Amino acid sequence: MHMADALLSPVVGGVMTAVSAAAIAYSVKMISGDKLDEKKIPMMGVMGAFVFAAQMINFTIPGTGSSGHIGGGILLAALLGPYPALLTLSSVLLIQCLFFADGGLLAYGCNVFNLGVCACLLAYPFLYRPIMKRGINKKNIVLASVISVVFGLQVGSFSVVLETVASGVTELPFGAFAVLMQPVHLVIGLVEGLVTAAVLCFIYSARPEILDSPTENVKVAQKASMKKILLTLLVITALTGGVLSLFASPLPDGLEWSMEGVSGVSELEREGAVHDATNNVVDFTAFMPDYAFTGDEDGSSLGTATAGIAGSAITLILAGGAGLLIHMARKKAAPAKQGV
Amino acid sequence: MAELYHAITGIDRMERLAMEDSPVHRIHPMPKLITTLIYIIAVVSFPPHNISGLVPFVFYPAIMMPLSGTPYRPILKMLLAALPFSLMAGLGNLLLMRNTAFHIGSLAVSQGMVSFASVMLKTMLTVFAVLILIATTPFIEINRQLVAMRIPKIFCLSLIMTYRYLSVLLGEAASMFTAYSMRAPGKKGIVMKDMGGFLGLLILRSFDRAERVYQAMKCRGFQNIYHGKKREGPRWHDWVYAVSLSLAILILRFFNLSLFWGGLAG
Repeated sequence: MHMADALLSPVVGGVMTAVSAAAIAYSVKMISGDKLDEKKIPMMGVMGAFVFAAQMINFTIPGTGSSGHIGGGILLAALLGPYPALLTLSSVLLIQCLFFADGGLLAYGCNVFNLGVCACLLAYPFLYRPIMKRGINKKNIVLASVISVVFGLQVGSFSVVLETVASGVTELPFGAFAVLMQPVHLVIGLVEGLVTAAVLCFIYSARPEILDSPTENVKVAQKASMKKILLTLLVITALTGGVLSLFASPLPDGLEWSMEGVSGVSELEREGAVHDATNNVVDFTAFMPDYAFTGDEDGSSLGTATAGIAGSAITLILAGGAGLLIHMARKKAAPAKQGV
Repeated sequence: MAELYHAITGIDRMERLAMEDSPVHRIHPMPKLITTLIYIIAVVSFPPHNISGLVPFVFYPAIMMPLSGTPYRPILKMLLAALPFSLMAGLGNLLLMRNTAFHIGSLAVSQGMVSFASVMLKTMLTVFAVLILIATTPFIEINRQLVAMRIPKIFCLSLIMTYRYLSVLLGEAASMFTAYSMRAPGKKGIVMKDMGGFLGLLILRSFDRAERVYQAMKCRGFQNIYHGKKREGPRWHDWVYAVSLSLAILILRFFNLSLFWGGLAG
């Protein structure tokens, strides 16, 4: 499931790199400040090497004659916790990308998201931990492992489909691609979930104390809720801009429809020097007129999606800049009031 | 298990290649990292129908490989391993895009063929670029640049430790697998029901090893600070290299050199 550079556009690669970088930064923040964080470094290093080795060990699936290997996201998270697990997987993916050409450098952000974030930051805290909170026993371990691995792989493989379709390199339609990817990864997820469950049950029998506790870090989560919100907003914005905009209706909006009904035109043409000057500014600055690339008259869906993402990013920057200016202005005004 | 041993020798080979000396090896890692990224972004940004514009980018590996003294064979082997995913995506386009793009003599070339060629060429160029970077820059230097770029130290430290312990863990897994194979003759891989115990044991050994590594690091004064030999920053000729290569990439991205030469010849 490692994506290659050739199947991505620079925009999708850039956006996913930003999303993954935010996820990694968030994980670093959650680990730092813990007085045991320096002990985690050799642990993450050695476990990263373990995952690398484990991914090279093929096991035969009974009855099919085929073989497979584990991904390791949920396994790592169940041993180290979600945040060290994400950092460890990111290290492994970077080494695989650089030394074994398994996944491209531009696609690194996509691979970290698909294989790391989906398992460690989505499936593990929202599925594995709640199930384990009900009681740490082998039955719950099996249930939690299978459900979270299947979910993580389904979300991850769906992300691959979205990223590839949004890049516009492959002509495979979205529906057909999804139908190809999802069932295959469902089966892979079931098998990997069972293997992960077997490994965790073994650890539970031999050395249960090394399993990550489902009740750890509760107070830290409250402190970090603002960051979670911002991260969620960033991801939703990118997805909305990139994906939902593809489904934006080409039909006229309410205003245009009313104008057509009243005056017969959907946009008014205006004369005059001021309007000409402002039109020139708009023509110059609008690198995506009508949400499509210039010269692309029928408005390709890639243009709309890119415009969606780019527009969202510009909006975020402008909003952040405006907020900063207001904050600075208020700070300047505040000392004058204190003197009264 | 063949893959485990190949992985160990692969890492060792790249590390030895990176320790050699050549004009490319002597360039500071930061400009090399930046130019590799610019190169990859430029290659990937080409639209699928533009093959002729992409072809001049072959100059980069064609010049850098002999200049750095990197042997072709191991690099090409790794390249082959990277092709299957792109091959499948490209084949999809080959089958779906049947309308004719142009004719070469009497042969009709479909848009699918053009798109397939584009995907394969882009894959080769981007993989070459990354492998040239790794074959001419020791990984510890790349890691040091990541720290200099303010990437969180905990990530950089765990990255370099993963790299260091790869061959150790791979060797451990290989000897465990040999022991298993001797007790399960005729089996291709590990039987699924044995995976729990196999991986579980490997995990327990890894945990114990990590504990010992941590104790050894503390005994040698580890204090969660990234120590490294002070390396001087890029010199003026490193930046001349970076700027001129980046300019060349930008020019080639927007000026189709193949068409220009083809026009002159025609």
